[in-house]
Amino acid sequence: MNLIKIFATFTLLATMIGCASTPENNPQLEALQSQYQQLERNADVNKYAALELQQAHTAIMKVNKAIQKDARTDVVNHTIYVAEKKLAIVRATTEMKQADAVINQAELTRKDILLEAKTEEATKAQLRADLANAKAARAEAYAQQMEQRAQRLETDIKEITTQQTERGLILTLGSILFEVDKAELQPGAERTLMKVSQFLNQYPQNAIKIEGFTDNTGDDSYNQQLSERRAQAVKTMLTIHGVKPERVKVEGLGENFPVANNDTRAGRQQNRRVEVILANDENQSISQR
Amino acid sequence: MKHHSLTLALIASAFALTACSSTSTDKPTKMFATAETTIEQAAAQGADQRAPVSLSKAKEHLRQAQRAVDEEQYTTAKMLLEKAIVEAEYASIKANSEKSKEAAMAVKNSIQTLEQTLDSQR
Repeated sequence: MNLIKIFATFTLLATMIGCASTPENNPQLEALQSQYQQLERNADVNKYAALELQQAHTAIMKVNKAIQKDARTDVVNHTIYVAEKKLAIVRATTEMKQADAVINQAELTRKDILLEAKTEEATKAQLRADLANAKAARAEAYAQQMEQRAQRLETDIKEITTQQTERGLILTLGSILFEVDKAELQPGAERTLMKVSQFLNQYPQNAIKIEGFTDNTGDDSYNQQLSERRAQAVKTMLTIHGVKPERVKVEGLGENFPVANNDTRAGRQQNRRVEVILANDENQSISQR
Repeated sequence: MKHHSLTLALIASAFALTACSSTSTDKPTKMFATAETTIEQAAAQGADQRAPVSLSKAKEHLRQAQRAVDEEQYTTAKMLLEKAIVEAEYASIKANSEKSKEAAMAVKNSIQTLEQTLDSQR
């Protein structure tokens, strides 16, 4: 009984020793196998270098075979050399294809970015167009409102005519406001100019220009001075009625820019006038005639 | 009976011939050509600049294989040729992999530049 036990133990030990000395435990082979397993677990390796991985496997099998056959050291070393290179080929192939994938992806990314930029540009252009439309609509509404108010003023006061122009809204005050050859206002002119002031003060930010004109009778420089003094007199009266003086400019233009024929009495009367110009909007400055 | 011995002799010599052809002692002409081509291809892929160590190793293996062939050491020659081939294959792949990596880097940089340019325009 004891003898059998001893014999069994001995056999087991012998087997274990035999196991320990099998080629499986060759450290170089183990190193190769461990590298292989690491690569085998890598998703990119399987995706990009499956064939190369297979070839590396075959090469490692040859190492194993050479060791098991107890081949000469130089033969074993040769198979190890080949297997190592095959593993290196797996790595290099994977790296190459990873880089290629980056390049392809980058090309798509580049297109995406450009497309995005284009879309953004288009959206911006649309916004700009919308904004421009909105501005135009607002400007039109503003102009319409100004025109309506001007027409009411015109209906209200007979001595005034209004005209909407590029330079601004022109209120023409007839010569009836002034005594002949004088720059003083007629007593009744104040009521008219008060109404004009009220109208102008509905647009408190808009620039104002007052231009005086005469007919062609009399001396040029005299006419120029007279027209300027009349324009100034109008400014003074408007200021009294609340128009801020800093937004009002004054100019005497004498007998220039007649609106009617100076050969007739009626024509000369039309030419003797003061024009009050109200800028079309808050940002506009009134241009020179 | 005589006829039978002849048949046996023929079979035996056939076996011997087969054994001979598999002993890898014949001149590795075809393998030599393969090694040369593989090295040329590696050089064409730019391995002389991007994998110079591997390429020169492959060339050295080829030189030694030539010497072994001259000395009729065909088994040694075959091993050297196998080394030369695998080394040249690696050099080829390595060169291409380096090229791809450089290109990927360049394209990444160009995208970065593009993004920066667009950002600055916003």
